[in-house]
Amino acid sequence: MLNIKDLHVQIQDKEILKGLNLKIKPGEVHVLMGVNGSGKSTLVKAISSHYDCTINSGSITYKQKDLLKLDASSRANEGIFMSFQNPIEIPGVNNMYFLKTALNEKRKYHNKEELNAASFLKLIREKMNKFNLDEKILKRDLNEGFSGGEKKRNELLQLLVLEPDLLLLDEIDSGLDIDAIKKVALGINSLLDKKRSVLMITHHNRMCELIKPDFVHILSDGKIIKTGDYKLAIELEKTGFKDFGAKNETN
Amino acid sequence: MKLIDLNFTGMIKDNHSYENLQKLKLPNKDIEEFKRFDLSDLYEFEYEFNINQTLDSLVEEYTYLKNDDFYTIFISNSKFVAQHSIINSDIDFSSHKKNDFYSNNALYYLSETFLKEQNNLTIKKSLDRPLLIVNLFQCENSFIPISLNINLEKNCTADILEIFISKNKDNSFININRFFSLNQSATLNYTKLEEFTNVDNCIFNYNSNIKKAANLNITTLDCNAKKSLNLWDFDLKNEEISLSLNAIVNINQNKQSANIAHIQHNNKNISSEVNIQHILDDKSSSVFDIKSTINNNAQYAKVLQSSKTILLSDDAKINAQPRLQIYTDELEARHSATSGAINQEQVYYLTSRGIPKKRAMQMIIESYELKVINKIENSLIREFVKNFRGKSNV
Repeated sequence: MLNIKDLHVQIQDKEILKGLNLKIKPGEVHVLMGVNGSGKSTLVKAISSHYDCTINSGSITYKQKDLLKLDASSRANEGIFMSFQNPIEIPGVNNMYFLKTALNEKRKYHNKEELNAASFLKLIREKMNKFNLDEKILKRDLNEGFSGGEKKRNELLQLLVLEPDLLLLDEIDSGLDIDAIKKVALGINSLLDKKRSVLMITHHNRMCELIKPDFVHILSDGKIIKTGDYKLAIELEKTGFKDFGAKNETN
Repeated sequence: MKLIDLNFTGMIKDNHSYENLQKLKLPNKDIEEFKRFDLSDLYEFEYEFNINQTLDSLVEEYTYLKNDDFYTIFISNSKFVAQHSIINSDIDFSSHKKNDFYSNNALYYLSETFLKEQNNLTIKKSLDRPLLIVNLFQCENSFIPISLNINLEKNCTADILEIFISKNKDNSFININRFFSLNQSATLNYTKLEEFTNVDNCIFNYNSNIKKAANLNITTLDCNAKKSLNLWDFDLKNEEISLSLNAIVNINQNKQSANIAHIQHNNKNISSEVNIQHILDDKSSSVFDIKSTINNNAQYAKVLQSSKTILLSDDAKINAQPRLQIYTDELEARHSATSGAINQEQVYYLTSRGIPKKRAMQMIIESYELKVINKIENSLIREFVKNFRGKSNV
């Protein structure tokens, strides 16, 4: 599904990713771990065409397409979804209006008929009821005045509505209590159908326990320095990054 | 005929106004407020003066705007169209002799010179429904003078939505006078919406006579005219008046817009608030020149001026001059002017969900507009405005 080769990415004047390689097959769940500043968020930003990132060299192939030739909205409509670490507040843009627009843009991209207001309302109510999400967030403006937990639940709602093929989850568990983490994990697991893939950044084993990744990667200084299975995350929790030779970029 | 010559032989209907026009002279770049908003091209153009033309087919085209939620008045090229209007006995539309009124604005007299009688809209009791006034224009290379006094009786509350729709195909100059006369404790919530064309030049001259404890809340939305000027002249002489002006200027191409206001505070406990949101694209430019004077008899005034601008292009320009002249110690006054580009992080967030960049920017611009539209008091007018501007949400 996703094949990243020798990727070099800079933000402003600093090279962050320094020859990163990563392959994700359909249905696989990958977890990315690493010290702060190692390039985890830059990687998901580069995959989703964030304007901060300059790709200096390397390639990203997604579903046999050269991803670097697509803009952010086309990448999203091709099925890539990045959940934001800090979802952006957009006062004045109603959440439901935003969701309906996003869904219909995706449908239009795939030459499907757009949903009218009634059909959309039916669909979104089904999703919200299934995961016990509060309908009030639909009536509010996009992320405006949302608590940290509400913002993350809103990201989950977007995930459920847009049904992407590749989920890039940048610390979707940060700021959530144990119950909320369970709810988010439940939502993500419900989307995992052996076809969808996940690349998840997390600092916590709890999320790994609930989602059960196939691969855990340790990122250091812009490169993947070790790959293992779920046991690697458990080991990391006990020993810390140093034992794996990870540089502490924040120092 | 060129306006600059002020030679209107055979066309003058109101000598008193013509004399005032000659005395005051048409404003040009020598006047501080007009330094950055040049009207000389309008004065130099050879306009036709076919103001009596009727527009039956155009009125027919827009009768769909009538609905049960509103009382409706149609005015075509400044003439009241009785057969298409729905009003009740508490709304009186009449024309009669002009009252004595002095303005410092020559452009006000420019229209009055060509109008013999004064059109008056009087609302005698609070209305159970908002009033929709539909103004329609269709002409070519013409100067169109228009004037309407809107009067509210004591304790009366009214919500008025006034729409200006033009089908002009060539350079035209529409000069519109609006006079708000509010008796004691009356409240007028007035919204102005326009669908001019990019060949229209529009000047709105606003004046008022506001009595004690009356409230005037104005919302305007300007976006289409080639040149659009709102001249606000409020002399607030009575106690406890509340005036609020919220406006959106959303223009592109080479369009120009200006809001120039003189607000005089001349009694106790008067509040005035001006909030204008500019959204400027391409080579458009806008002027915000608001002068509020708080005289020494205007203790406990509350005065606010705010200009916010989003510049969507490197070539767009804003000239913001919030000005306060304060002659009393007992007051609360604030003024601010900000400008910036559209928030890239917001655009990215929307595009990362599959919304194309152009549409994402449009959604964000609409959100700025909606902040102003949502301040409209009456929900029916609010929804009408959203729908009229194509911002109907889910």
